[in-house]
Amino acid sequence: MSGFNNYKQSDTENDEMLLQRYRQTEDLSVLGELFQAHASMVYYVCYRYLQDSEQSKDAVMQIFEELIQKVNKQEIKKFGSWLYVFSRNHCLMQLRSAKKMQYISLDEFVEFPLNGHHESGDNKERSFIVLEKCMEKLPEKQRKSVDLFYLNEKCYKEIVDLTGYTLKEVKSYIQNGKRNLKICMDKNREE
Amino acid sequence: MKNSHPDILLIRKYLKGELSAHEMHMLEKRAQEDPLLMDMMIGMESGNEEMHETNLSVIDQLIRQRVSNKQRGKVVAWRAWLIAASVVLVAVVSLWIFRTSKNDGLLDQETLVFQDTPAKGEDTNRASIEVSPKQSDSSQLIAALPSKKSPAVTAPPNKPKVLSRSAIKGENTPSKSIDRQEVEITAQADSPGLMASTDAKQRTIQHKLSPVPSAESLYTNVTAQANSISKRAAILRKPNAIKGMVKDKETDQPLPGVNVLLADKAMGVTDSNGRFSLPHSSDSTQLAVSMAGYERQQINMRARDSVLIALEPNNTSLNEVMVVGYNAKAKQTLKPAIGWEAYKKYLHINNIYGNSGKVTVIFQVDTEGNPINIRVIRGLDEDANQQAIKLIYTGSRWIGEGRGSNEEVKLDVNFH
Repeated sequence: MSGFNNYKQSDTENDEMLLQRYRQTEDLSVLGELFQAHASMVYYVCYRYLQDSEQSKDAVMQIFEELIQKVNKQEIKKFGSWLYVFSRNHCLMQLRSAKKMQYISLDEFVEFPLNGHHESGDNKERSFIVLEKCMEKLPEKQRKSVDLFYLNEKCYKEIVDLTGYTLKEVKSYIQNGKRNLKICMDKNREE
Repeated sequence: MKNSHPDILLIRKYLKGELSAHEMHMLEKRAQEDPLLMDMMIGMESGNEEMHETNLSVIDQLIRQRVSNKQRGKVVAWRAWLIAASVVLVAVVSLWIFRTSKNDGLLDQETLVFQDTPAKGEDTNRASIEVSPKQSDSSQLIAALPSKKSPAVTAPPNKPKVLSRSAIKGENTPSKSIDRQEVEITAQADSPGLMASTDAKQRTIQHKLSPVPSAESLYTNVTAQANSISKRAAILRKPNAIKGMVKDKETDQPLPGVNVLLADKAMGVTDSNGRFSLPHSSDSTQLAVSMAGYERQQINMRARDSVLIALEPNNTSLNEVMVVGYNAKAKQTLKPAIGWEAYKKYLHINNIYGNSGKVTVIFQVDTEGNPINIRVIRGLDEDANQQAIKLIYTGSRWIGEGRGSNEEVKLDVNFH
């Protein structure tokens, strides 16, 4: 995994460099090179939302055109993340305007309550107790899925094998369980 | 195609089942925290890899093309088109003038100077010369024109490709200015100024024609020509507004209160005469028209800017979705941009779920007026919850002072 991070690091630096160079030279081929490095990501993200081969291709090119317009007007700190948000918004806008009734979960990125909380001592202890209380309140299927995924570090496939739920169900239980947990924990924190 | 995003390779392995359970879990867990990764994973696992590969290499090529073209291809095509249009315009005008002059013989011999351009191929040549200022300038072109004292040249009988440069009262200056106009049009092909310069051209032509006796009718003709050109250009450039009228297909009566939605979130409601007008700003051309009790219609507006829509009544009864209330705090300022009435109708039309019960959602509105942070605080079942969220999310924009603040809107969505 560490090799990974290094790779990412140099990648980000490369982005930064190309961006700088484009801003100085206005040479479109530089921007093209930069975009090309991220084109697969943009394409897959578009495909995720649009679920259509042609539309996704078009969207990627539209995003590139918009990028040409916007790149000099906005401050871009981390190109990759910026481009992702930009692409995602583009596709969501497209979906929204087409009123395509499609499942878009908005709660996908609720953080798992114990992740990223570097609380110390008492607080952490208390969080744990609350978490356990909330876990008990979860519906059985959600509780099982969340427990296996987060606390027993099982992958989706293993959870499918262990529980007999379908893959889709497992993903959805984790999603919903996580959301319910957060709501429950927030409530407890306020009290 | 190179995949510089390292995770793509990892996800590919994941999808092929080449990772260990632990590695899979690591990736899944990261995806749970990282929207980018999650979106890519979902994108990659839907559809097949072969298709994705093909698409990616197409995209690769497109980008390369786009970059090496530096937009020239597009612009030249545009300019060529416009020049062709103006050439046709001028040809038609000169033809008209020629006819008029032949018919009534009133034409002042010195007012018009015709020049022959034998082949269309040459037209195009000239066009491309005009496009690129480096290769020639207007004075060179004018040099090619007969000088001021030259007698009128009678156009040959086979006139379709006649290109005329009419010089007013045999002077060179106006023709020069015409030339500039044309150059200006080509130069501005990319900007909104297009219309303006077409206008200018129109005026010039009018001016140019003034010595001709039937100037009035000529002008009308020219205007019509110019209009049709600007109209065609407008189709390519998109009109400023889309207008239309909606009526009931059976009764032929105008329908007020119909939701019209242009795919770039421009939305409106028809007035009491069933009319609407929407600003046209987007690349999308799909107009969606819907109303409770009628079949929803999608219309492609690519080739037009006004439309008459007849909605067919829909006899299947709709599920009742009622907005029974919202957070009635004193400081509640947010409301749907389309108004509560229309918003209720929207919920009405778009809900197709058969579950019964109530879903309470709560959300905030960002500075753009989009609902964000939509949460179900009292749910029904998963489908109904998702449906309620989706309805809010894809629904109207919101207005009010509470945009971008933490003011919350609470809605009860009743499913009957």
